[in-house]
Amino acid sequence: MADLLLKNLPPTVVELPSDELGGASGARLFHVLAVGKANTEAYPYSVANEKIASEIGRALGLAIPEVLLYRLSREWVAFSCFVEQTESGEAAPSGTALQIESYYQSHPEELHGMICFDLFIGNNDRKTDNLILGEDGVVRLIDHANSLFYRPTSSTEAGIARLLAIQQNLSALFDKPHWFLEGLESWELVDEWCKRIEALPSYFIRSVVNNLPSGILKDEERQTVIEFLTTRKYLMPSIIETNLSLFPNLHTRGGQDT
Amino acid sequence: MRETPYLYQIIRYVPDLERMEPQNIGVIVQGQLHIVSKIWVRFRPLGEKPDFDYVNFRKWREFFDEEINGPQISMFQPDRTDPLFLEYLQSRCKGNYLLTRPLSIVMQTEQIEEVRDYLYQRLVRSPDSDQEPADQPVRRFREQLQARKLDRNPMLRRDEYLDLPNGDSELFKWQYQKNHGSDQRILIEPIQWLDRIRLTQIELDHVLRAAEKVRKSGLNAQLIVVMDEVQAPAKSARPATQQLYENYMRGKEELRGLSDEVVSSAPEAEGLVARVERDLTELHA
Repeated sequence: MADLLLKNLPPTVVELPSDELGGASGARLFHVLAVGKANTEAYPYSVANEKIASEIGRALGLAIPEVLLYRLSREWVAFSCFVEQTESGEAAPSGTALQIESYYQSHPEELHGMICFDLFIGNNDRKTDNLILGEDGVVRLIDHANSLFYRPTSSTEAGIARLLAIQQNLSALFDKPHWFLEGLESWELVDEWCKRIEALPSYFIRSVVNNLPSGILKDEERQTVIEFLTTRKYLMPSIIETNLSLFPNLHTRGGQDT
Repeated sequence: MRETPYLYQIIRYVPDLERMEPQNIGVIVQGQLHIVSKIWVRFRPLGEKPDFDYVNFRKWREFFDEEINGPQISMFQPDRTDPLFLEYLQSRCKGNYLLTRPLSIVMQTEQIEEVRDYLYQRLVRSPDSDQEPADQPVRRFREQLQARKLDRNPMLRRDEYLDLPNGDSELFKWQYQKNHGSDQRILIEPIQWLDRIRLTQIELDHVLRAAEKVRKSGLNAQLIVVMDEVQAPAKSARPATQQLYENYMRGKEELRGLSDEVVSSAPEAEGLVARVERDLTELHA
């Protein structure tokens, strides 16, 4: 075992020698390898954005790795625990464009789910870079640091102002291009995902936001993002319908592709 | 001659994530509305790394090959002639396989392949580097016989017929008499996976037939088959290749029953040559 660890450092998971932690369920102590993000000046809301987005996406039934928050000295870090490795401990490729396209061709509902989810949480940073094809053949969505409160750019104010801006006008979302808007093709699938979003309990949204440890968001920001999401969940069909020009392959309801 | 700007990236392998110390294993060059790459096909990390994950290396090699030379996938990939494509590729690499950011180079050539070859030789591997050992067992076996000069040893007979006790005879690639009490004959047959399908099939049929003959004749012999390892062909491979692969895998199973040993990796092939050398040395003693 010691040899194995030396050869393959750093391990994905390592159990640490410790006194028995006790408990009938036999709790033990582990170090787990994970990708971590903290807030920075350029990305002041990464931790909140990652955590809220991942909880909501997972509740909708999308394949999104779990995000765990942990405090390292004075800053909070959002850890994503999906690190696909080979038996030797090396990182495997996370899928070619061809493989990922092929996955979505056979799972158009997942492609629609990803786009509707991004429109709901205000995520513009969707490109193949943020998709991981796992060994189980499932494509997972990662990196939601650019959703919700976003980050300051030359054309965008981050935080509450960003939520209000995209609430008023969906186009405010796209100061950088979302790669997959042309993937929306079927109203049937759009409606299915909009229903899922609408069915998200408001208490669940409040719980996700309010369970963020203190210091991650100000009270006003918490309140605004709760209002943003609990209002927006009912508006998704009309938001898409009134912005049809953004989705070149989604025709008017009752048109040829409905 | 006109000076032409290009962008390039270096593909790097990091053997140990804690130490970093990456090794350059390939280059990608973009310019003149083209993109080309070259990867060190039989790369082995510097120093001792017996647990090198060659299967994962091959996956990454195939990843780069498909991304750069496969069909352009609109919506999921930036245009390959756009610098954004290089940034996209960089973002797809992680852990032990990394790509540098796009770097600039200006050369007095409009042939992108010349730029690629220059960078590959300069940054990855010069053509006068040591010849790499073969990674398939049959070639490695032949190379090692030559390296140890066993191919010139008259006791190791090559391409000779052997008379069997039941009056039959059979041709074997290598054979020798092991003579320290056992008087056993060692018969070694190769099956090499070649691009020429017919030759591989002929070798496979020949060895299967020879193995059956040896077993039926009751000869005091040890039959060892050195057999190349093969990957399943792609779904798009032609039917003859897929059929050959199925025959090959079936034949391999059959040979495990008919022969005494199937050597199916390059290190095993090296071990076999060491045994042959030891046996032949003992014959002289």
